Amino acid sequence: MKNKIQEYRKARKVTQQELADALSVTRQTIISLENGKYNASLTLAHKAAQFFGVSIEELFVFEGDENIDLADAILNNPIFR
Amino acid sequence: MEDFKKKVEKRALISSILCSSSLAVYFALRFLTKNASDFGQGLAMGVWIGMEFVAVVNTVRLFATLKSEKALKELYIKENDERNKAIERETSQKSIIISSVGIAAGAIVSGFFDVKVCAVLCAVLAFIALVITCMRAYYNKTM
Repeated sequence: MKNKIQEYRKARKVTQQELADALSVTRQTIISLENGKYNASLTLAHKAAQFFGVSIEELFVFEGDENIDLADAILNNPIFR
Repeated sequence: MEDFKKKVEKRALISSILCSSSLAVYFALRFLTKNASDFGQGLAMGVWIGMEFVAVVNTVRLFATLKSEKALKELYIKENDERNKAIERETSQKSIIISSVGIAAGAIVSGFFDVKVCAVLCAVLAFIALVITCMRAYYNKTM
């Protein structure tokens, strides 16, 4: 899952430490999020979206989502029809 | 943050009780292990000294944290950071798997040389399996 945290953070001239303090996480978590090494939980995603004043979908990019593919596979299974 | 402060205060209190009761624990250990071998006595004392050292360091650290709002917030973030929790979770899961495989391998190899060691390692494995089963049952009910 990609995100635009770095983009929004730089646009708003916020440092990683300031963002980390606002979201009550460590700076290392912000670095990992920006590098795409760590996926935020729903709570953190919500907090980050609130901080930047955007929706979660705007901040986090769900692409080629395996979960959606899995959900489709389950729903299209004859057992569940 | 107030709830967290109370939690830290409680931890500091428990830690300081542990420190202050150290003399009683020392004499109790001396009494309980008086007939034990030198190795047994040394081991018990070593564990006690180690625990005491950790308790003292912990107490000093916690009381210092309680004095500063900044330090308290830093500790709160450090303890509640979701990446740290995820790392902790992953580490625990992987560690238990690797340890169990190591113990199982050890049990198989030791079976060729010493039955006692093999039995102890098998007992350890059985205990780990029991703990995992109980924890899984608990979290299945509570989550």
